[in-house]
Amino acid sequence: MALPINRLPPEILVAIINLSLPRSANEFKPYPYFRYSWICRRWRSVALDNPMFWNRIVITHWSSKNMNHPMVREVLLRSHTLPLDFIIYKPVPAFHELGPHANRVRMLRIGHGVYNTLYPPSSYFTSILPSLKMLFLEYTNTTQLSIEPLPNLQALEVTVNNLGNLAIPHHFPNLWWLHLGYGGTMPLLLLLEALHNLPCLRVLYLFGGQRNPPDDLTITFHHLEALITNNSSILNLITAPKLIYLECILYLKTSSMSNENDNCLCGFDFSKITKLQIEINHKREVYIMGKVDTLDDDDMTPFSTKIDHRWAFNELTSSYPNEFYIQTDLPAISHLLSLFPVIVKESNNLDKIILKFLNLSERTSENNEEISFFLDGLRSAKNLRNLTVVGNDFVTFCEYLNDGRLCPNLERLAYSYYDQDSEEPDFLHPLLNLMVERSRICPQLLEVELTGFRTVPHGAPGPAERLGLRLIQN
Amino acid sequence: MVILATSDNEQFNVDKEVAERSVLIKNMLEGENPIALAVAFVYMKLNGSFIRHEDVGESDQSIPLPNITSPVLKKVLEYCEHHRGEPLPSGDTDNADDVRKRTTDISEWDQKFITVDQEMLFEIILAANYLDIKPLLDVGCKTVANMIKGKTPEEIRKLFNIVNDFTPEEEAQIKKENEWAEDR
Repeated sequence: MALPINRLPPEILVAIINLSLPRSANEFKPYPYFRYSWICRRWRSVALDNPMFWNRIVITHWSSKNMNHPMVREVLLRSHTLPLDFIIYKPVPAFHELGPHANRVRMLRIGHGVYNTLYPPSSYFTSILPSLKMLFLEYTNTTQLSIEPLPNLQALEVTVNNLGNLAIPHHFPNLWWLHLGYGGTMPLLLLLEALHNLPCLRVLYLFGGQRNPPDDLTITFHHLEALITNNSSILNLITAPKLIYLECILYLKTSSMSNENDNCLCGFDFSKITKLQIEINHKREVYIMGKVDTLDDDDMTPFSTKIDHRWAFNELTSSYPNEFYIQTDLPAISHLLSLFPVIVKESNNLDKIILKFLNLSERTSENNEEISFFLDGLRSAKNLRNLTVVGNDFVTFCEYLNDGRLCPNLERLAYSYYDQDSEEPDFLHPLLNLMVERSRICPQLLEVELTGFRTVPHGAPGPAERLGLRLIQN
Repeated sequence: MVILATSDNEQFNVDKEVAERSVLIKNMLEGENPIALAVAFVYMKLNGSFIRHEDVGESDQSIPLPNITSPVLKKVLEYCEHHRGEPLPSGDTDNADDVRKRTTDISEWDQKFITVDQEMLFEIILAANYLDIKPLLDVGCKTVANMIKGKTPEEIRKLFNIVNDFTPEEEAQIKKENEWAEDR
């Protein structure tokens, strides 16, 4: 009688093999299927008959592999006609034999890691890659990187220490996803101009800066001054007509580097911008985040793995709720906050706001200004239905609630208390009273959520009966 | 009620709602898969196990399940009963990306349910495949996937009593391939 496992049809065996491979390992450990092809003839035949097991070629730093090994050709044959992905993390000799498979190359990820030798993407393949849709480049250091025109390219990620002029994307008529990350310098003006020439661009990530920008940093105030002279701002220069998603993470210099550039967001000095015109239009989301001192000492690179861009790439094709997100933990970023009321005012469809404020529980002349921006912004949100506030600044939250101009359409209020250091004040009692009171002004307000507190004070008032109240203790 | 007849001539009276966790049975009851029904009937008749019931609920005859024995069907029905009323998976989600995205997490009840000997495990998988009960098939596949995860070819052979049937020449070739693949 046949072994029980041998009675499984091939398609089920394939599903089992797939499930047995950890998802995260798929990318850099591309050949676990070999293991299964070594069990017996039946398993080997199942593995060899499935092209999807063989359409990814990976060459890592540690490997002694090269592209011209006969096994590369064999793997390419096994992949039949499926699109091909190449991940190459070391300088390797050009691949001369891609030949008939060139038009199947869908994704190319090139990283040099510890190697400094410069190899532009075109040097890996002697053939043209007409179907290349995704190109990811990670270089340690180059200002000479050039990217040849790729008419079908849809996604481009360039991560380098110093982004040279040549790496600025041009001539990509179908590019809709662009991620630029840089450690030190980038030609900002050139980049912004290039965006005009990307008619399909829908998603733009701009990550960059470093804690201690070098003296020869090429993005400095004078660039911004040039922009201001033209009565313009960075954001209204991003005029890609189909942009729906913009995410900028810009790293500040540390306050210990005290000098006249202290507020310089690696060139993006918002204090120098006197006029802002932010067009929301059909951009459903605008993320602006600032981060600096929260970075661990050993996390000197801004390209940490905290954000999974690949996940974002997959998810962005689905629709997103309207969301505006400011995360700030430094007074220095208060200039950025001044964008907030403008964006809110311009965005008629904004119905959800999440605000995270830390270190604002003590009022200073500096953060008073921030708070007024915050309150102005919230008052401008005419269609706001959902407000979430995270942080330790419950005073401001109470101020907002106390305000007679509370948005009448508000349906859900959430406050999540977060403070790492100081002792928790007795905020719950007055806050609950206020919320109950406010629910009379906002007839739609049906849901209130308070989270993160450590203690429930005695005699916490019950909410109005119709108010759905959730208290989630830390 | 629906009557299900197994290959070893046992009959199970089952709530229609429970039986219809199986897309195959659901389609049969809705008359959408008459060919499957006819084939099953012929098979059962040839085997002398054709059963008619005159007096049971909505259906006056049993549905023959020639590929499934009674102990296996009992297990399958236990699963269907427990998950009765849950939404059925819709559409065809079997493309390559979905396969990759799936995790091997199994809920606590399902895990307990599927803790059976190897033979029963594979029988459940085959039955779930035949009856088209996708969530049960998933549980079965995930369980086997968890069993082979991280194991060497030799360990997998030992686990399932698989015989290494390669010739020495084939094995040498495969070993060479593996050396290349393992060089990361």
